[in-house]
Amino acid sequence: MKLTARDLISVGIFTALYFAIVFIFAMVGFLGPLAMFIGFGIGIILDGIVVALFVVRTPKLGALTLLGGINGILLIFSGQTWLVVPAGLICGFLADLIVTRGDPARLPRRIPWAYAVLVVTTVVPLLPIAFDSQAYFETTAEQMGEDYAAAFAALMQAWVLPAWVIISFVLGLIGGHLGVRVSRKHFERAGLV
Amino acid sequence: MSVASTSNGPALSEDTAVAETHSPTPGDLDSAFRSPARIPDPRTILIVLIVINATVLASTSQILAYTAVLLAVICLATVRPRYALTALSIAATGTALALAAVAWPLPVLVFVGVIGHWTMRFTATAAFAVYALIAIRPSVLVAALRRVHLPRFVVVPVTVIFRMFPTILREAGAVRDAMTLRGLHPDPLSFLVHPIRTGELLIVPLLTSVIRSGDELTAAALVRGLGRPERPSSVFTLRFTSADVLLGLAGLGLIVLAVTTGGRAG
Repeated sequence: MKLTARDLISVGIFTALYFAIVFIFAMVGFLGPLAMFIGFGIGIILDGIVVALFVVRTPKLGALTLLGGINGILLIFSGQTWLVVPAGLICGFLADLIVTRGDPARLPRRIPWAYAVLVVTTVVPLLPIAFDSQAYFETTAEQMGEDYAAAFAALMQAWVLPAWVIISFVLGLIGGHLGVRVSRKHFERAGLV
Repeated sequence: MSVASTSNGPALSEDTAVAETHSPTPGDLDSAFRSPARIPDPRTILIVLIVINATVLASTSQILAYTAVLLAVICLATVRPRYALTALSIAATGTALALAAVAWPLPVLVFVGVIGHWTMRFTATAAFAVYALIAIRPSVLVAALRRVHLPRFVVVPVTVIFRMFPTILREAGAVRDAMTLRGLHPDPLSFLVHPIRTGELLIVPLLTSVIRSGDELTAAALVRGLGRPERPSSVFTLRFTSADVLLGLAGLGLIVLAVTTGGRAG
């Protein structure tokens, strides 16, 4: 199944919604790093609704790939690293494979897994911070002495990145389930599916 | 009337007003699409946006980050001086906190200093991104994307996204008003108490109304030929100006700076 012009317009509409929801909740991040992760988490769960409806309306190979990639372009416009684009394309393609391979009748069961794979991309904006902090830490430890180094190490720990991968995957599963449930409860009745 | 417009000579002067409304001159198009300030071509802005992004967020060089903030602030000042001032003060606060942490390495100050360090770096990329969003008009951006032969599956969604953001904001405001009218106040407190339920109450009607207006947009866009394989012509001619040379040189300077000073912190 090839993506038609109608599908491409649909990709645009849903990518705009997907980005807007994550962005609004990530704005809470101005309150501090902890608030940033909580805001991200809520945004991820709620975006499950958007993705579930999108997948049900456009279950074609390439739809989630484009959503991931173009969402990455929009993230560049909000100041994030350009690596979000390849990451979005790769995770989106894997999610696409999960959606399109297999029995179409059992699609609602696969949506949470596809969405969980897609949201793992949210770890990528943290990569430059981890990378630079490492180099920053090494030189400042020589210059500033042990106190500074210890305080810094306590702040920026290596387990943050893999932990966020697992947390975002679980949040994606929860969000996907919420999305499928909401789709059944509201959108099927309203004739939007 | 049609006779007058096709003939030459004295008859033309009588119908100049009519003729002008039919075919605007290149000058009219320029004033309609280009802002009064000298704004570079969207292609140049997008390339420099990616250069700033890839250098500042991937290099540990401090001088590079300062230069990028300066470039972003200068660019922003040409379109929105007040935003430029805001970006400059945010970056200055971040730098001050980071320097304070280096001077007095107390745990609390170090914590704040690292946040300041990152605030300054992300200010560079975010301020230039804001500049790009203000300086590039959506219709000109679409023309530029087509000019660089991006495939249809990129151009069509990007076109739609810029069209949808105002709709999403308007509908979100309407949903919030409707919630307030029914005694459900979607304030930060309700988000803290019931984050998912409040979000669901906000997002389900938002999705419903945005998708309904999206379906209408799809019909209208298909009728107008969006997504056709042919490349449509543009009434606005894209061209490079001296502003592009300046911005391009600045971007090149950032690359040189990243290569020469990169890899070392401080």
